[in-house]
Amino acid sequence: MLSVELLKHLPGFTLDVRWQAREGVVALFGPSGSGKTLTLHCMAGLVQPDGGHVSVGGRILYDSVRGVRQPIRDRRVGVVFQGYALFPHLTVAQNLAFGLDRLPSAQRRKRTGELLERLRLDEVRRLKPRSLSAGQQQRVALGRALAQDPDLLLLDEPLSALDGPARRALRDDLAGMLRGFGTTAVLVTHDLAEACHLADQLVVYDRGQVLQAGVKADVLSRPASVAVAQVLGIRNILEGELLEAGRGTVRLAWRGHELVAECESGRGDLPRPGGRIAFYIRPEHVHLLRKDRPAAEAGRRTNLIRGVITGETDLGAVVLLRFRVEGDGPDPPSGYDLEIEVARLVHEKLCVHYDRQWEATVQPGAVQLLPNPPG
Amino acid sequence: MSDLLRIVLSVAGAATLCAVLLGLPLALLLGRLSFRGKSLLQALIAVPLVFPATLLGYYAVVLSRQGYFRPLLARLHVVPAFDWKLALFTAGLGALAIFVRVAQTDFARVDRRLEQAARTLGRSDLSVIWAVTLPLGWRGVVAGTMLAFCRAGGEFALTLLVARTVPGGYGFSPIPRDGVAQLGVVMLCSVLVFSLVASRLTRAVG
Repeated sequence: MLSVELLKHLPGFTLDVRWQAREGVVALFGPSGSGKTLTLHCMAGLVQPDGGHVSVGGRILYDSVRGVRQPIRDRRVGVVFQGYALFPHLTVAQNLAFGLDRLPSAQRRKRTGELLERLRLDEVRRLKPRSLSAGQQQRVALGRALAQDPDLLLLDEPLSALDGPARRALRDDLAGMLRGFGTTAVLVTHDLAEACHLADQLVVYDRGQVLQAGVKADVLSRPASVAVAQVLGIRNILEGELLEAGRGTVRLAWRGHELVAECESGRGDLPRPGGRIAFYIRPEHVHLLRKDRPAAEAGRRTNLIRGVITGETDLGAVVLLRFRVEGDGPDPPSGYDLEIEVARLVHEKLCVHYDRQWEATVQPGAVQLLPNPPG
Repeated sequence: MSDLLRIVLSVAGAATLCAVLLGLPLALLLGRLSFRGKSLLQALIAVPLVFPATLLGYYAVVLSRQGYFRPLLARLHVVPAFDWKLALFTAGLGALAIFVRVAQTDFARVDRRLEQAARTLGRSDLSVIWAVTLPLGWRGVVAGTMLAFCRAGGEFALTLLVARTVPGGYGFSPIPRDGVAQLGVVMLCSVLVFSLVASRLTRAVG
């Protein structure tokens, strides 16, 4: 069990966060400058918070009320820094052994040997960090942080120095190592794919505060608010009027269309009928009705939306269409209501280039409710 | 080796040694930490860079002979006079200014995350300096030492040659003429070599 509560005032920024997590890998996710790294530094003891509490598995590292301030060396916390921060003047083996200086030399050699073997670094043990590949550097950084067998591992943007295929390969490698060592870890990232791949729990940060914390699947499928949905980069965040909350479904009015959304019954956070409610529809969940196959599409009549495609963005494998709904109310300032993602192949087959009038449908399960309306 | 050369080299050497011993903690302080009054301290140390240290020494003696400092200095058993201690003092000030400036710049270039990493690995502040900051900033220390020696030697040689004409100046015996030529050659060579090496060292970083 990991429990974190921190208050830290800096010029022009205040960190005020509170979250808990189970053992496993926790990702602190949010935009740059939202206080994720500061949280990590407070947990490691590199920065002294103004108040709060940090405990790992019941062991208190910091508690402003009880006056506990464990010095860094007694915290049993390993840190993997952004860009790895390997000591450039030391060899791989010396980097790994750097934190073991309190052990007798025989034990130190044994532990370093184990790490070198386990991390597949034996062949490069005498090399300096700058002559290593990115993958080897990552393994040295991880091994150095894990050498003292810490209770908690902190990783600050572990993959930020890389891009493209190398980044994906190292992400796989890192995920494997985190599972292999099994140490509870907290990881800072602003890349959602990275957070999802590496972590099983998510803490969503924004402007020095925690918006939502929980098991990854819960946060991803049930964002607690519009703000969380925005931080998660969810598209098509819309606002409508609640007509009726039935058993397992909710009916909404939006731009002159009536939409049905799935919703677990007894949900207490919904507004009364007639109240405003926010929701979102992922661009890949909007289905364009194919005019070339009317028979196959005959069954799809729920949540039917008519409209015009006003523009498109080619993203390579998929094409993002901007779709303006024909319905009540003023047109949105952006000129479109929905983004619709279609596979490139489908896009070509449908000849979207020449034909702009379309009908689209959305499964009730894909209309996701966001209880707190924007503003 | 002529007396002149021996005097200059030993004073410059001693001044450099003092400057390095005193300057190393100062350079670490200025290069690694930010604190109140840092700019002022930095400016004070840098004064001899533009202001002849010899003149500072002269003022120090004159002021302390007639001024308010006398009782204080007497209590510290320091008798102000134009002798080798003053020479060491003035040459040391100039050397200190140069050393701190060069070493500080190199310490400031050491990646802070490396020191943070060392601390999370259980090292004390002193151990971090010893194991990370100094090994990564050694070029600045060596370059600073070399340039400090050049400065101290140059400063003192100049003072000595000029002071010869001042009655009672520095209290050294008259200097033979051939010593001057030897001094010039040695000084020129060492300054050339040291500044070349120093600029190589400070450029090689990064």
